[in-house]
Amino acid sequence: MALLEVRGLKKNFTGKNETLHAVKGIDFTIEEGECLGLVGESGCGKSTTANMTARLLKESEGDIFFLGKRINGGKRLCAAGKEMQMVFQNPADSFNPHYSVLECVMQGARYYKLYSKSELKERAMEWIKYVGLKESYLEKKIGELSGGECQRTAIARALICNPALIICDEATSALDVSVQAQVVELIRKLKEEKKVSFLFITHDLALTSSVCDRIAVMYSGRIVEMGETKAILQHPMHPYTQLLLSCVLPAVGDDEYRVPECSSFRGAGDGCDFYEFCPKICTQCKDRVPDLQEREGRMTACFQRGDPDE
Amino acid sequence: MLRVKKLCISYEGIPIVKDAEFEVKEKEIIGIVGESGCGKSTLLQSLLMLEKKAVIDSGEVIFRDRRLGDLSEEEIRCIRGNEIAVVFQNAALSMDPMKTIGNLFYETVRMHSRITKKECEKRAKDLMKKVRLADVDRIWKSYPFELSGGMCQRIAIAAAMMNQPRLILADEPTSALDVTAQAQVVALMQYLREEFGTSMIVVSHNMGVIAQLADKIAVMYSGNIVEWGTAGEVLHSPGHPYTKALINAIPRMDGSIPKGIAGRPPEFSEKRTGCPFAPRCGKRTAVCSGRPEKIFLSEEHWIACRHMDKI
Repeated sequence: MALLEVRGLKKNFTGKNETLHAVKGIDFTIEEGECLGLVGESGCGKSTTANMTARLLKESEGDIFFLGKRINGGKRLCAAGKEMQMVFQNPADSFNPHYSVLECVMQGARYYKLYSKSELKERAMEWIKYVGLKESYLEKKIGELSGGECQRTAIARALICNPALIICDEATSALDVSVQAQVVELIRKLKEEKKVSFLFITHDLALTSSVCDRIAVMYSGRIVEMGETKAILQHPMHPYTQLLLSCVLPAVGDDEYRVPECSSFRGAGDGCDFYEFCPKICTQCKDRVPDLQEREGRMTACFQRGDPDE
Repeated sequence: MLRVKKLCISYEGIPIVKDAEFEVKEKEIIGIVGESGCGKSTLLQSLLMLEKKAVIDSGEVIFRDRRLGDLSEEEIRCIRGNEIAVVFQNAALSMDPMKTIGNLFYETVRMHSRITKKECEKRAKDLMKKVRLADVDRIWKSYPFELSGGMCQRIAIAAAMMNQPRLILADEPTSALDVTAQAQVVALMQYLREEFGTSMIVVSHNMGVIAQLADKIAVMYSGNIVEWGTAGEVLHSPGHPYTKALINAIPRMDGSIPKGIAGRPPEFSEKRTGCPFAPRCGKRTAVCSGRPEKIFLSEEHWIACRHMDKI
């Protein structure tokens, strides 16, 4: 059985007059040692999915199986436990500013009462070294660190619990490219040496190519395409993935880019969410929501059966 | 049109930008790239004295034969928004949330010219249609928070264009946006240059945006411009070791692994002598402790590095 299995996950935010369907039913699995990238634009529901998976947010419908057990349904949130850790976008905000680096990392394990006092400190120092921070950093306050160093500390805090899965919610988005590349190196090292799985959430498509084994593209609360990273980036099948890839501005090289007319969110309604903006609509698109179906080794939610790249 | 000569800027007494030199010609887009804290925003903002704490220590900024340092606050205000317009990173935050987009346009124009509200509305709506904003009448009555980030940014740029400025200063205009909205904003800025011949200085850490927009690129590191040249020269045959490292750190679609730069930039409060990049540079030798000199690789392409022979 897969390490993590998410089935039919939905989230509705109910307001006074209307209900917002943020996540409209998604399924995915993560195998041991695998990194799944969840990509999409702001407002497509990727962070909501991450928060539900980590049990920080109560789902409206659906099931989450982790390490062979169903972890949702109970009254208490935060039940995912030490095996599933999270790294957030803004590293400095997720720490207590009065704590030193060492205390921050120890705090991660303290909650679960994993180690004795002396062992805890030893482990914390070990992990701080592993993520590439020098010993002189142990007593520094979080405010004295740069963004990249903060993010390393956050990863060390997650690692001290020996997690099987780390959820990174835009963990590198606030960093400069040179620092981002360092964090990417660290994630790759963890995957290889410690066999940690990742759910890697990002809006940067180019980044997924060097980090993720598989990616799932989200649009308006649904996964529209899921499969091997390389296959999707080189030959996107779903019209939305094609559009998203075509508007990435290339830094080097003469690739053309396209200027889209598109919105990343559509409320509840009949038919495919991408219907209004899709260049390849057919008669069914307006009335029915396409299912995520396997085709040529990947999952696509589109009625079109023709050549994808045309 | 705009010439910056030996500009040194300090922020609360700490020197930030050192000896910045560049020139903006008519219809030209200049891109300034660099990582957070390298002084690129400080440089841009001090051109118009937008930040009170950033003080110009020496050097001069000459805009169409006028030295900006000699002008009074009143005269600067006349140039600001009229001849030189500014677009910020988070457009939605730079707009008054209590005012509709219509009011925003009216206010921008009225500062500098006498105009009736009707006339302003007509001009603004024409402009918005030109920049392909749909549903102009709804936008006119909306508040900033009712619009998406990409839309706000495009409106901010349209508002900046209302007085037909000669130069636009854009500080990270696309950094808060999704890729789709980024492409829209970049296309809009290209269109404005073609249509109105507006020059621009665009500051960004996104190399993709700069590659698509800029004619000339300045690479900044720790307050110094370390490389200057045409976009093709800087991106395809970079000379400075820092530029090379920066380009290698950009994630690519082809699955190649981006390479980080070890270490971190020096603090501005530390006393700096010699090349600021030397501690992180792979080609460092003893000569790097001396002041880096400008070496011209071609007519307009220069680097501030001592290692000409190894490049």
